[in-house]
Amino acid sequence: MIRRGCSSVLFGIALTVLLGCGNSGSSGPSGSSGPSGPNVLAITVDPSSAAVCTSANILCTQVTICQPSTSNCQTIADVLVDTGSSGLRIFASAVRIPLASSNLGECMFFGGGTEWGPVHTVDVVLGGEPAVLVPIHVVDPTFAGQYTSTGQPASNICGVGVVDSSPVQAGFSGILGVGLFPFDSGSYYTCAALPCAAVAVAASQQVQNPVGLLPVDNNGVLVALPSVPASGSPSVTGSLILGIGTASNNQPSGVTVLPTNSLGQIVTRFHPSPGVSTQNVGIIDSGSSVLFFSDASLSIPLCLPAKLSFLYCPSSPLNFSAINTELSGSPSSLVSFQIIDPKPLLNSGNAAISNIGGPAFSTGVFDWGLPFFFGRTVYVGLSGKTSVLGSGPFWAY
Amino acid sequence: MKHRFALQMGVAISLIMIVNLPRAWAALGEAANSVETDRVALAGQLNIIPAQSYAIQEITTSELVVREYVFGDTVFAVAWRGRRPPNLVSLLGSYFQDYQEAASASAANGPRMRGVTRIQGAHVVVETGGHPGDIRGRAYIPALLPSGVTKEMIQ
Repeated sequence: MIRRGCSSVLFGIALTVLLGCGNSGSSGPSGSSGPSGPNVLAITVDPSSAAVCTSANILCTQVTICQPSTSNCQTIADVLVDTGSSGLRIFASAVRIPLASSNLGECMFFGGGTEWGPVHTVDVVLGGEPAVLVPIHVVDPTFAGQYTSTGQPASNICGVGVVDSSPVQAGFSGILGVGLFPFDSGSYYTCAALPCAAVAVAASQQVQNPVGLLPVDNNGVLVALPSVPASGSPSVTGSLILGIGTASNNQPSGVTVLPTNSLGQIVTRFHPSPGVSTQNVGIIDSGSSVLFFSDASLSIPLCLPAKLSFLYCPSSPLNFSAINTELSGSPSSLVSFQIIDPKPLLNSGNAAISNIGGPAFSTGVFDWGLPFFFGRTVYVGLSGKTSVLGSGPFWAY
Repeated sequence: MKHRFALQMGVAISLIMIVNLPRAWAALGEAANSVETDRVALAGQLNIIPAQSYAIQEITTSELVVREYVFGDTVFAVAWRGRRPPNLVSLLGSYFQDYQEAASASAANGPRMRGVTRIQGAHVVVETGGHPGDIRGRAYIPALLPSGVTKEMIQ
């Protein structure tokens, strides 16, 4: 596995050099294989061929990590593609390359889980791009004795009920955060001596979005996925393309650009019923499996059993719309969507579902999860970088 | 039993570790005056917001906002938002173990779709959402919700 990962990395680097540092990554011959070039990562929802990413609407790719400045590399499959966070996280149990010792621990809080473990600096290779040296989060519940191997509290530095413990439990081997920001908003601790203590960490030591460190394709990404019919699909395959307007395969046209606030949020005016509008903060998050939204006027039944109680199960399909806007109110974009009872689709082997939703559990946040991405090309403009679409942070589609 | 002992040990150790607290700053299910303990522990500012039949005691710190919902003399719900969640061992107090056991059982249930979590314990419900940088959540005791109060009001 390691050897094969290496050769593909070396090939990727050689290809990149030939093409001029990813600058001129061409879209190549068009065909069923989709866009190609050193700045392209294949992304899939395909439980039938995945070892770990086996849940519905879990979008995954593969990433290569290497011992710094060596060719000792490893390709990690089943890495969640997440436009809602920044930085690479890999479960320690999936890492085979040797890592230097680290005393720096991190709690990373997501809406859907908490990750704990040390920060290590490695070379990260995305697609055929040159390797970038970057701190990543190695997810390990047992680091510094904080949690058991199954994620249950011991010293419990993150103060939560459970942390993600393994690829099999979490449903992915890692998270590739290609979101709006160069840094990850985690909480850092020094564990040189126990108990671990909160610590302020220099930016260069924090977990960082590897995209921003690329030599050329560094101003953001686009996520392109095919549409999924209302009846669902067993799998989908698309592309994560690095850079915006930096190569022939990432030139935007006809998109609406929505700059965000400092938290990566736009305004989403949701219409729970005709003539009614409620204002939410909106996020566009490929790492969220469904559309998460709430409104006090809605009483959509939740699914049963308890394992599915974070999903809406309406008795008949519900049609909604919402308007995404910049904070100033212009430009804006109307999005129509449908919510159905997803259980028949889930039970019949459909892993990509476009009309699935659930309550936000945080009234006022409208989370455009993976269903939003089906049939769209969504641009993520990295904060502090500029592109043909303007300065990040912004969403565009 | 082994698991429970480990948990109790864990809770005991964390209580010693959490920002040098003199005691747990538990609130959920406790008397309203425990909110003041929380304010001191969080080094935050307290703002009391009257609402319908209950009161919201809001504690603001540099990292997060915690709201404690008080009816009569009892905290029946808590909500939070910010860069990170509050320490739930402390905020949920005697209900933490109920939450922790249900959360572990849910995690052990295997992979799932991702984005939010809803943990239903025997007595407490804990719901979390939001995204990195703006984490939001709430915990409430259904049996203590005053009549006419829905969970959507807890935010």
